[in-house]
Amino acid sequence: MLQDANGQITETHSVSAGLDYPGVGPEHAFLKDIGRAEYVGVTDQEALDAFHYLCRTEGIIPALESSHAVAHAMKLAKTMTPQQSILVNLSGRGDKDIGTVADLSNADFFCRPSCQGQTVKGEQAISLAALNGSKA
Amino acid sequence: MSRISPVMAALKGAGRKALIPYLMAGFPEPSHTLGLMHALVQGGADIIELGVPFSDPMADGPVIQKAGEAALRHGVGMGEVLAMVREFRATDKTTPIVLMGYANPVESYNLQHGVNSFVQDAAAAGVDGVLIVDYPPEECVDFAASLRAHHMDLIFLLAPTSTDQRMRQVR
Repeated sequence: MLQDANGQITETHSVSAGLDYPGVGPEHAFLKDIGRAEYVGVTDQEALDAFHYLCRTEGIIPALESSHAVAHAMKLAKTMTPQQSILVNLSGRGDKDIGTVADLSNADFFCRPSCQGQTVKGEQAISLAALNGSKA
Repeated sequence: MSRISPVMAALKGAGRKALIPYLMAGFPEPSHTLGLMHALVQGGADIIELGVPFSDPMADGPVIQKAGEAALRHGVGMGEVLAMVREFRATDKTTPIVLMGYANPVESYNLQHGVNSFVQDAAAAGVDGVLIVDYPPEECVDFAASLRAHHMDLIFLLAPTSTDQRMRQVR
C-alpha cells in the first residue's frame, strides 16, 4: 500500500482510472520480491502519447492502463535489435477512455464536459481559475 | 477476562442495558479527548468506544468519516490513541475501553514497533476490547488468541441477516 508511518492510505493520481489506486496485489508483490518480474513507471504524458501512437500506426485503441505498457515497450525497443521481439499484453480496450483522452488532448469532442465549459479530470485547476475569473 | 465481562454481567443482573457511547479519538482536538472520556463516564457511560482514525473508513458513515478526517489532520494515529487510553487509565481504573478501527493501522503499528506490539501496548495502556471491522474471524485467529492471552476481547459486528452459524463463530 501507499501509506504513511501510521498506516494511513495516501492519495494517488493516474490518468487511467484502473491505475489510480494506492495498492498492489499480493501476486504482483510476490513476483517482484522473487525477481521473476520487473516493474517500471510511466508518466501520464508518455501513456497518452503511446495511446495516440498505437491508434495512428496500428488502428488499435489501447486502454489507458495498457497504454503504459505500450509506452515502456517503445522505450525498450530502442535498446533492442530488429531480430528481437517484444510481446505487449493489451489488457483492455481504449474505447472506454476516448472521452478522457479527448479532454486531455484538447480535442473538440461531441458533448464532452470540456466542450460545455465544465470541469474535466486533469484540468480542474484551470477550469476553476476560469470560473472564478468569469464570476469576477 | 477483560473489564468488559463483569460490567455486562452486572448490567444484566440489574436488568439494565449498556450505554456505550462512541468518541473519535482526536476530534475535534486531540487535547479534548481525555476530558470528553471522563465526561462520558460522569454522564453514565458503562463502556467507552474510542474510534481510531483511518484514511479509508469503509464501515463508517459521513459523520464519523468527517470526525476521522479532522483527527487525521491533527496527526492522530494508533500511537496517539494508545497514549490517550493510558492517560485515561491513570485516573479511571474501571470503565472498559473498546478501540474501534481498521486493520491497516494495526498492521502498520506492528511493522513499526515489532510483531504483536499492538496487542502488548494496547494491554499495557489499559484497552479492554478491540473491534477491527476489516478483520473477518477467519483471518485473525492468531490476533484473537493473542488478545485473549492479554485479557482483551475481540469484538465482531453482526447484522440482522447474520446466520446462527456466523453468530456462534464470532462468540
